[in-house]
Amino acid sequence: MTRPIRQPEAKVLQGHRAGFVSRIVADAIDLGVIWALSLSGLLFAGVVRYLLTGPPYRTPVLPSWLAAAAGTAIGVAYLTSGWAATGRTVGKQVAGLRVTDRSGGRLSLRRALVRAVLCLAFPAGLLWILVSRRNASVQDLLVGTVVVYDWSYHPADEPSPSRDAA
Amino acid sequence: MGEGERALVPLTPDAAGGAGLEPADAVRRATILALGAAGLALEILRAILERSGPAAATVRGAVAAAPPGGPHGALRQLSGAVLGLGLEAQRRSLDAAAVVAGRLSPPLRTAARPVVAVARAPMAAAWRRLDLDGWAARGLAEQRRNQQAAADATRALVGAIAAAVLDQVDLDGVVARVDLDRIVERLDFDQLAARIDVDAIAARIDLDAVIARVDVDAVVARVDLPGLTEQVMDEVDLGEIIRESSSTMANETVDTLRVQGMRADRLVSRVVDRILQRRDDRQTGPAGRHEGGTGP
Repeated sequence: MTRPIRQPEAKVLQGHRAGFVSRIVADAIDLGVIWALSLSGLLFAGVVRYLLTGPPYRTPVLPSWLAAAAGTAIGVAYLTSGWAATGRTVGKQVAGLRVTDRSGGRLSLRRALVRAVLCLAFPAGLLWILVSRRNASVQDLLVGTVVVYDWSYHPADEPSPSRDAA
Repeated sequence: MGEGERALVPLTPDAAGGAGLEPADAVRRATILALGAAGLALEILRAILERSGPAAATVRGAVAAAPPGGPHGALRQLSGAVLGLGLEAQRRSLDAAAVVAGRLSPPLRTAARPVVAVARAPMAAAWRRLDLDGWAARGLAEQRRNQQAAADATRALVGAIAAAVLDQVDLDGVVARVDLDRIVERLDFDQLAARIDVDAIAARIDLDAVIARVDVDAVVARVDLPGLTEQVMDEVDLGEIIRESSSTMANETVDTLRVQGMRADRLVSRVVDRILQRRDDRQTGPAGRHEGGTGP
C-alpha cells in the first residue's frame, strides 16, 4: 500500500524531526480546514433553522465570544481526532508529517487533546522550533511529542517507521 | 395435285393394319421411313452447312450462278422431283406386280404383255407430261410427310427405350452407391474460389436496398445493450483508471510540495543557527542523530 518515495533526499529524511516551514504549512492548511468546518457548521445551522421556521434563509450570526468558542471547539475536536487516530491531520498529510510521542508511538487521546488545546491557545509556541536544537515547539516540550517527516502509509495498529528506526 | 397430296401409305400404325401388313405395304412403309430419315439427315446436313459460315462459302461459291431462289432451293426442287417420280413409279410398279402375281398365267408372253403395257404407260405419261414443278411439289409434300413419319417413329422409339431403361435402373440404388465424400475430396475449392470474381458480385449488390430492408429497431431491440455496457465497463474498470491517473497527479504535486518544505526547513534552520552562532548541527534524527550526519 505504501507508495515508494522517489526523491532520494526525502527518503533519507524519513523519520527525522520536521522543521519550521513544513509545520507552518501544515498548520496553515489545518487552520483552513478548521475555518471550512466552522463555516459548514454555520451553514448547516442555517439550513436547520430554515427547515424549522421557514423562509427566508439566513446564516446565523453568532456573538463573537460564541463564535470564538465554537471555532476553538471545532479545532480542538479536529486536531485531537486526527493526532490520536493516525497522528496526522489533513495539513500534516499534505506536508508529509506525523505527530508521535518521543518513542515514535501513536498519541493517546488525552495527550492529543492537551496538545490541541495548547496549539490553539498558544500558537506562538511554534516559533520555538526555530531555535530548538530538536525542532521542538513549546507544545512538543510540554506534552512530550515530536513531529517527523513520514510519507508512508501505515494503519494505526502498525508501528510507525520512526519507531522502527529508533 | 389431289392424288399427289394423298399419302401413299397410311402413316398411323392402326390404319396400317399392324401385324397384318401386306408385303407391298410393308415395302412402301420401309421406303417411306428410309426416305424420311434420309430427308431428315439431308435437312440436318444443310443446316450445318448454312451455320458453318466461311467453311460453306466455297460450296455456296460453286453454285453462285444458280437460278433465283438460291442453289439450295434448286437442289431441293430437283431432289424433290426425283423423289416424287420415284415414289410414283414404285407405287405403279408395285400395283402392276400385284396384278401380275394375281394372275400368274403360264404363257410368258401373256404375262409379260400387261407388264410391258403397264410399264410403258407411266413412262409415256411421264414423258408426255413432264411437269417438273408438279412432280417437285408432290415429291416435297411426300418428303415432308415422310420426314414427319420418321421423326414421329424415332421419337416414339427413343421414348419407349428410355422408359424401359429407366424402369430397369434403380436410381435410388445408384445414388446410394455414390460416395459424395470422395467427390467432395476431389473438388478443388480453392481453385473454385479463385475463379469467383467477388468484386463483380459485390458491385452488383445494391447495398442501399439491402440496408433499407434491415429493421434496425428490431435488431437494437434484440441486443442486450445494458448487459453489454456492463460487460464492457467491467472489462475497462474506468474507476481504476481515474483513480490511478488522478492519484498520480496528486502524488506528484504533493511530493514536490513536501520536498520543497524539507529544503525550506533546512534552510531556515541553518540561517537561524548561523545567527545564533551555533557550530554543531541540530539533532533531528530518529535516534537523536545529527541532521548533518544523515542529510545530503
